[in-house]
Amino acid sequence: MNAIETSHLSKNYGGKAVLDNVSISIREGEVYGLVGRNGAGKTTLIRCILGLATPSGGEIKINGATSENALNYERQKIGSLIDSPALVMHLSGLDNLKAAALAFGHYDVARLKELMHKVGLNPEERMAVKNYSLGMKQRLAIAIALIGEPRILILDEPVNGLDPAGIFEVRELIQRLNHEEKVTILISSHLLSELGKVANSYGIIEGGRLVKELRSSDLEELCRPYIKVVVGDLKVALNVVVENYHAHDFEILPYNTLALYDLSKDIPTVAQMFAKANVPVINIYKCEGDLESTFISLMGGLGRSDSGEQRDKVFEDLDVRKPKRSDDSKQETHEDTRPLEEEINEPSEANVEEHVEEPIEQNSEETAEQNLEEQAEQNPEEADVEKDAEGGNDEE
Amino acid sequence: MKNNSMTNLLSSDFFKLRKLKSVWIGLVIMVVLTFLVYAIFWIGLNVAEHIEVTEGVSTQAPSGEAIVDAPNVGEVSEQTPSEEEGISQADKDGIILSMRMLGNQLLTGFTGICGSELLIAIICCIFIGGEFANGSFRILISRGMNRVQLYFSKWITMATLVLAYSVFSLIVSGIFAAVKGYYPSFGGHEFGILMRAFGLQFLCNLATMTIVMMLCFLCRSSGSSLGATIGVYILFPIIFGSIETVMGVMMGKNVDWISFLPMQQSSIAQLATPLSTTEICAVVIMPIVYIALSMFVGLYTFIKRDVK
Repeated sequence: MNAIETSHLSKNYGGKAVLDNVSISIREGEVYGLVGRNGAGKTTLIRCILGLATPSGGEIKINGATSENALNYERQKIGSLIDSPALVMHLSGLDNLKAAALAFGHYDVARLKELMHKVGLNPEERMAVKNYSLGMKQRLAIAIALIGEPRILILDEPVNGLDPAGIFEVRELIQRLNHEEKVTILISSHLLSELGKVANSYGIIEGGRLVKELRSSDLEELCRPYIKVVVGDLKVALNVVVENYHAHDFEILPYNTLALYDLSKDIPTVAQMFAKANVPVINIYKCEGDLESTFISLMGGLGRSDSGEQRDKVFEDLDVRKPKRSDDSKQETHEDTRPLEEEINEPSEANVEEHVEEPIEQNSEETAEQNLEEQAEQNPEEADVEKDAEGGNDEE
Repeated sequence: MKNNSMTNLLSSDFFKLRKLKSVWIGLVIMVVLTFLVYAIFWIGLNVAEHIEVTEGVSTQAPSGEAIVDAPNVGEVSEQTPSEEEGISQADKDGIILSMRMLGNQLLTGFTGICGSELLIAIICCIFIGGEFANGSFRILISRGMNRVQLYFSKWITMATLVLAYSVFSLIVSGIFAAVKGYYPSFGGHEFGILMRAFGLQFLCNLATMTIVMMLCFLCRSSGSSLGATIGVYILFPIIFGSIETVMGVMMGKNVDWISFLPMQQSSIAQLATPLSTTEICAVVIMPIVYIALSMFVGLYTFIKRDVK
């Protein structure tokens, strides 16, 4: 049974769609990670689920309830932490818990003190919350969310402001609640590595739309290792790749970079393949698949299968023949005189040239660097992301 | 304990209100202000009681009619007798009587002298605006709390504060008034007038609090609602005072209707004298009308708007 379900949920602010037909399903007892850039619509989705914002369209189901009264009844079983910690600043930590517990109807001082210990706070501390550090406030907000032993927890950026030890403790707490008490948890976080350690399902939101909903097993498949190649001439390199790889076996990354997922061709083979086509290879190395790069690619990187339109645009811009997709390879083998496998196994210069409409320019490393700089100027954010990804993934 | 009951919300609100420093600071301010007003009154009364009386001068009756006692009437015509020749015993008695009546008025106008109306408005902004700012409303609504119950919980909490402040200011004012005593004496009739003043001032303060609460629910932060409230406190007297001056004094028109406008009833409620029918209507009906109106607007916006 689904603990939380939304179908075609939409929310408009001033005519602008912040959520557009979002349908997610969170099964009972799972940890669901909500991933997306800033402003993607994660918090709005959470706010709609919690009744803080009225959806412009669509339906919300919590434990099967859909009517407003029934939803409000089910929301009593939800603990939440949204945006900044909701705390009364002039009260002490324990008093904040008392005030919330009184309102929720779960006033038990011993239990509240236990909760404070659980999140790593001292209940005897009489200091006003305004003097707490951000991490302490975050812990206290989590403790408030846990009042009344909720069956569902919704946490928006729960580890914001926490030190590494705090992050570890929150992670442990989430895992313990999920494993031992079977609490269903929805977490939105930017710390993808952290999310990857606790979540077993993911929803990826971009521009108010649900890009993809994945289970852990799907993600493992997407997180496969790849060979990253930085080339001097993307256009020629693409021609080579199109001839040798299926559409789903490579990806175009920013800055003249290609990710090749078919590891049957090792690094020397790939290097040789590009060398034959006179493509300058600036850098080539193997990367282990990780959550971060997978999510980035799903959220708007030029993804393998989910952002086909963007990729097609690159092909059109560079005037390169579009690659074959695995699902229509059968059909294409009928049209093409040469079988695809044969093409892949026998890359040749002639083969490459056959599909290149313009003469191949001999690009020097200088030109490649210039291209990199130009792209970095156009999109500094991606440049940073790419730098981070490179820093974290380099194996060689 | 049952989840989401009004009792739970009220317990939580009273707990938070009890812990709000402004509530206790407000009480101290009320005592200090009442003391200051009474201190000025005592000094004034003391001065009046010790005015030296000049024998054989013209006097002025307490009613205001000049009683000419001078040997030469023609000499007095250009200047008032007291300015020229000092204060007679009758003048002195008149001044003391006026001061005594003012003392009675101080007792019945207990909320006015300690500024409890403004203090309640400020606390209301801090308490309710703060609930929006610190995300308390967010947490409660996300736990399935009914917004109508939330609104009424806040209103009842603040209404209790209005009642507590009214009773406190009455007690403080009563204690200070007892120092010099009620003039001529405090009996059942005077007690009735005092209770009438208490009831009407409570009603007026309740109306003001509801209007301020509506502003808080519209502004949704303590800072902006405080600004809006102070703005209202400054603007309303200027606007209504100007209307009164232009229409009443300059054009000679009847401006009794001004007492029907928002937050204009307190001065009538504080009177120790019998009230006219118009005044009774203004001070009884209008606060109820304003309570109902502002409650509707505040509640409607709270239900309809998303909570940040």
